[in-house]
Amino acid sequence: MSRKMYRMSRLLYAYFLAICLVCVAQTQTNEVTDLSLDDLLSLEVVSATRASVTLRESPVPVSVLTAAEIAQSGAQDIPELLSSLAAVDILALGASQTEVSIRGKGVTFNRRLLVLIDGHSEYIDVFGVTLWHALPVTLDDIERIEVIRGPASSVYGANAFAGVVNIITKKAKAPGAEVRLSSGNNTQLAGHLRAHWLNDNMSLIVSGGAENVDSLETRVEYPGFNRIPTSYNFVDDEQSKEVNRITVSLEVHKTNALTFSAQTGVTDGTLELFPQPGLPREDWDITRRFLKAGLDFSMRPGHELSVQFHLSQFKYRTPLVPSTADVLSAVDPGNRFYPSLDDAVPFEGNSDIGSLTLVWTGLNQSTSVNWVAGLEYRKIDNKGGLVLDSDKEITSIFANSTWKANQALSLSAGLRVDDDSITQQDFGYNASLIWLANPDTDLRMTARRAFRAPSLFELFSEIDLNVPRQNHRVRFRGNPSLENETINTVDLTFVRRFGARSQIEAEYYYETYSELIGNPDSGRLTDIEFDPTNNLFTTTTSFENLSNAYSRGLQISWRFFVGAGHQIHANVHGMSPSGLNDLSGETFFTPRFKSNAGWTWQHISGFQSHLEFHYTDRTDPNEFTSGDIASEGPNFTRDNQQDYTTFSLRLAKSLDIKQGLDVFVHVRNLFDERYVAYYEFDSVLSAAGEEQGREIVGGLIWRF
Amino acid sequence: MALLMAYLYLALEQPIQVGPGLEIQAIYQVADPLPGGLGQPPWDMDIDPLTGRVYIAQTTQQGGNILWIDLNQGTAGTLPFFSQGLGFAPDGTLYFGVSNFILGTWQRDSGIYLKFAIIPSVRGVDVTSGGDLFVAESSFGPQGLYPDTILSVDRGDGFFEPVWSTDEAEQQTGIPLNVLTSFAIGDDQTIYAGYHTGELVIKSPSGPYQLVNLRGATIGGLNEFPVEVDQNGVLYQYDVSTGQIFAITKSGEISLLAFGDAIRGHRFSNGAIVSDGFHIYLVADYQVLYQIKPTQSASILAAITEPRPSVPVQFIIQDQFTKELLADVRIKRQGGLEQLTDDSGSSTLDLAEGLYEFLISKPGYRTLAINIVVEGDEGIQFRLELNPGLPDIVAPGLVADILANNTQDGINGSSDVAIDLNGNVYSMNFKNGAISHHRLNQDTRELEQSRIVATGGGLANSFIVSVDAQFNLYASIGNDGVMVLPFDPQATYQLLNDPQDAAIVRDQLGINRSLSLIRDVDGIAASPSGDLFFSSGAGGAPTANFPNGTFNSVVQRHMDGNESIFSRGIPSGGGDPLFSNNDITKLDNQNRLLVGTRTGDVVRVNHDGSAELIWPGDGKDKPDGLGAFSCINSDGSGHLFVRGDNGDGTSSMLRMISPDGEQLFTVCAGLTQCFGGFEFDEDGRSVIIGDDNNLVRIRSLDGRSIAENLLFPAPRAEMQKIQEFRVIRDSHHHNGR
Repeated sequence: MSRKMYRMSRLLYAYFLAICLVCVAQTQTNEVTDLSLDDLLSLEVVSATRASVTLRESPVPVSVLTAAEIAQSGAQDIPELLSSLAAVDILALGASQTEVSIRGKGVTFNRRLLVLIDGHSEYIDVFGVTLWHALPVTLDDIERIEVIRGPASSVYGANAFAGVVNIITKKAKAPGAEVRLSSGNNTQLAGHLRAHWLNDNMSLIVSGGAENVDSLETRVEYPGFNRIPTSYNFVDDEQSKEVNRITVSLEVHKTNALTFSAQTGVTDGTLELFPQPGLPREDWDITRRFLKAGLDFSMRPGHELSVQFHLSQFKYRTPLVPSTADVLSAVDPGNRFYPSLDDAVPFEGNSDIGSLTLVWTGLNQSTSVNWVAGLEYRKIDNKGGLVLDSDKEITSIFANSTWKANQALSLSAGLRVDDDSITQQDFGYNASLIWLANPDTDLRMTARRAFRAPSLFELFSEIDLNVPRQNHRVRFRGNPSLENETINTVDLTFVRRFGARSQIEAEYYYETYSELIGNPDSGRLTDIEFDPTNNLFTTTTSFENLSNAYSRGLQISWRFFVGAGHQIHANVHGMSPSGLNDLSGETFFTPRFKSNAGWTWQHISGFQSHLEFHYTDRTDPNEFTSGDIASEGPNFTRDNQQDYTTFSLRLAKSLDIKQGLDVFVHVRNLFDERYVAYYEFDSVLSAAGEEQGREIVGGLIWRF
Repeated sequence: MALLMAYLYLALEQPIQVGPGLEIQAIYQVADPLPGGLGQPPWDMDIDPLTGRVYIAQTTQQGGNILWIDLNQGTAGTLPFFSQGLGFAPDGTLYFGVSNFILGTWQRDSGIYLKFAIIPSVRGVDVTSGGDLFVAESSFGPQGLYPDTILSVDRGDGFFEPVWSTDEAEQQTGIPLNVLTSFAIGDDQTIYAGYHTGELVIKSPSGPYQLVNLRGATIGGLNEFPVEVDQNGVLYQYDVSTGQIFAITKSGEISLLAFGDAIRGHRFSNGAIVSDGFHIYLVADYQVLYQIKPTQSASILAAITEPRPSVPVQFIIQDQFTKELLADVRIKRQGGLEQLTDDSGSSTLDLAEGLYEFLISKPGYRTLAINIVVEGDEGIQFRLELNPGLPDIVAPGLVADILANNTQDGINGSSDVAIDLNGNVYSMNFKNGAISHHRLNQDTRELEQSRIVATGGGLANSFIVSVDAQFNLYASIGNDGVMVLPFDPQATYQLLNDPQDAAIVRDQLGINRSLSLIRDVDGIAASPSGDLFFSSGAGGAPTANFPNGTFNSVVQRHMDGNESIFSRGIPSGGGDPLFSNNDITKLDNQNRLLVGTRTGDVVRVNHDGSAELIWPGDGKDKPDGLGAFSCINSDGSGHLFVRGDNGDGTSSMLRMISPDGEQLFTVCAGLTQCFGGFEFDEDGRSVIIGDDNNLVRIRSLDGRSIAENLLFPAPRAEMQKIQEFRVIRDSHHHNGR
């Protein structure tokens, strides 16, 4: 038996022993939050069409994570939670940055995923990135998360490219409050308070908290590879994440037909962000404010009108890279070739986003047709920072409809057209057929098109970097002539249930991508400026629509509801992309294979446990041009990328001493002190790697 | 009587001699700036395996290019890149350094040129027959990750990692090694690396680093000989500074293949050599492409290993002045075979027909190097004289003597001198990495005592010394900064570099003696105002205070410690900078800076920082050139004197520029070194010259200044010729160029 296996067996033994002891010791019964297969089938989702539809009849593939599953998972943040889904890949880049992608295409500062909170876009148009650790919600605020697997521009327009993650927050169901306090290694500290007030026609929710992580340094140094590990901090930083957030939500039911809702909040903190290989991880001071208001009017049964207004502001301040003086003073060889800025003036940017959305939902019972139609206007005003001052307006019209031919067969179609003031008109569509062949078997086919509009950074960035010890200047330039990326997808989903407890879902998809955007330095010597007078050479890297690619994949998910509070899930996902991951200047990460398995068990005594297994394979090496450097510029290789396996364990217990008081401990990466989750290398920017360690977090939840 | 031929390194041009069984011919003689012209200097050369064309990386008047010559078609063309290293892979892919910034590649299938890897200061590219790519990264230019090493480069993704350690090579060979300037690799992965002061180091994959066939001669203090390995494993070492080509077989046998003034560099020791096993092509700044090939043999290797008859060769050595026959003179043949002369000054050995280099040396004398041709079947006798270190020629009314020497005063590679307010002299001795203090009698100016005052801490790579009015000594810390050493009449500074940062030096008490981080300082002048001026050459890489670097500039360090660029060498009316790897600097009688440069140009910098060309190194529109790395200084009356080679590189001279700036008057010729500092003493009546193993002093005989003697020579005065032939310089080191 290997040493690792021995340690695993010892830990598993201790785990089972703890369970037995708890079972014997406890006699008091706690209420168990649970989900059955029936619950799952009848679960209503809103993301697929903007109207409620059962998960089984959703016209597009949707995965759901409920509040119960969230609570049981032990996940400390949303990306970790999402990683249990077969279609979702994450790149853990540190304590304050995790990239989430769907069906591969993972990349630092991922711009190909749309995240919604209660249907409102959280897309930060200036970068296109989702800062998961600065979202205005925590796991405790979430009722469920709906994940659309694949494109959804027919409903949400631009940027619903690889998929959509719609975070549905909890409503106030009863007066009360909930406190969560946790602490862990690397001086992880988190506190969260959520309070509800409720009367007959009004509810108020206040939710706020703070998170802090110190010294979660991730540094990868391979023997023989003492190049520039660009992803780690230029200067060791004591603070890896500091985020404070508060939201206030008000909902007023004027009549049964009219509901007014409003929400405001602010998230403020410092994140360490790694924008792309070649740039170091640096502190970004982030402030996000938002105000949203909505009016939902039920005109008559089946017909609802919704008007939503959303204002948000995103402010950032970052040095981006160290100063040239700091780089030149660096003694550590790993720091001596960093890109730098001659003037150590931080970039300060401000992006204001406003949107107005009008949605009409209708149902014609006689024809068994329901529809959603709407208009949306969105305006972005960007000033300062890493992007030249720029504005953008998008006017959209959309509609989708489902015709239920009979109890077994449904046809659905949707179309949305965006008129973008920069990239002009583009559209997304979906067409699907759902066949509920029998109570235990479902079949769904979809065809979809979506598009991604280039971010303002891709369009208008203008940064001049210096690599002083190489006498090298780098011009980083946006390209206002960029065109939208597009994706076309065909899915075939097969679902089979076995009795009331078990379900298998298999899904095959084929995706094609066009006009993918990379930011290559062409590598051509004719594009390099050699300045013998100043003894410098200058390269220019600019975003360009570079290539087309395709990918196909198969995912199989199995869920087994063993009994009350006892559930097992497992899934696998294999992907076979072609031409996707060698996009010059872009760093796609598409594992060939990934697998998850989880076991959730809640004892009637109030003891809860969850064990999660996760395996992520490497990106297919055949995806990278080898033995040659492409004419479009040097490609990325991942010779040192590693596959990795993690086990996570959560144990929780409801205490007798105080009703509503639970304690928990969560160990992420149970069996390894260290593993490398992410590694890439290219001939220009050198290496980037992320090493993750074992993390232990414990704390309490008190509901009162 | 058999034909006797002894070719010294003489001023007169000699025909090219090639070894038995070989022939040489000039095959291309188009000179830059003509289209397709050969430039000055060439840096590297290779043969295109697909077309047979010869590709030459070279400097031209327009900057530089890669010249290709199709020897079969008689055509030529250029690639528009300045490169100092190139090599073809067997599939025809060309890899080449671009400027001194990156490694580029020519993807000939698509016809485009690409940046391949950011490897700066590429000074050699070689690809084995198996397709493995290796690149020599020098330390002269951007700092790079692996300065002065050889990198194995992945031809797939450009990833590179070092396969050579200069530090280990230094430790194992026991000699200081500085700037890596050439390399070659055999198919058996044996690596051959050349360093810029003539050191050739060899390492087989499993063997130690070994020093082989050290080249002692230099041009401008440098010997950047090119090397090449042919398919038979024969290494060719082309000593451009002496015009010699050596072949070293796998078994270590060293043969002199050819020599001659026609293949000797004039102003640059750089050159290029390549071989396909049957032909050898060579070129240097003489702008002619030569081809050597066997007359009958199947390969160069076969020609040089063919057995040939031997004859006895006798050397008789005597003192040049006393004519005393000298015993215990070391007679050393290339490859290490050596013996001593007997009491009658004689030494005899048997030599097979062929070409030979001999180094004849004895402590207290300058080393004499000669090439000889052994032919026929009768014995040969050479009668040679050794010089204790005086110049060959001095001007009328002047006399030369040796102020301090190697055996008594420890002068060992003197490259600069400074005189303090008390009239005492400081010498920089780079061979033993020491600054010495020489106390002179205030009245007679005779030497009373010599003493080492500082050693270690990168002084072996410094070459310069300066002293201010407070008796603080200044020297560069190799290429990494400037140190200040308050003169201590008793103690000797034992300096050590900080292992983490070579720019930091501490003395034996742990006191940090670093003053400035300015890089590639090859000249320091301490002005009477207390300000210091640092001449930062082409290696003036960025520092914290100078993010854009200080290359090709003079930096002024003010009394308050602030530093600023004082001059970029721009003329007062604008135009191209006059600094091109500026070097040693002195102050004239009006405290204006006088700056020597890599190209030999000497420049005066006015108080406003504007620069003025005093004399062009190439002698354009003037009676003669100055060689390279020249030094300019003035006497107390403002007369300007320049030190360097003469225009054709055959003699190291100290000369005065006439007051009208149009003539050169020779003070002395035939110095051991063509580079290095000198200082005037006794109100211009004498000058002290740091010259290798001696401090040479030239004094006037009549009480007038040297300048007056040159301008107004005594009637019927003639140049005093001290010896019959010019000797080769002894091995020495010079860095930071």
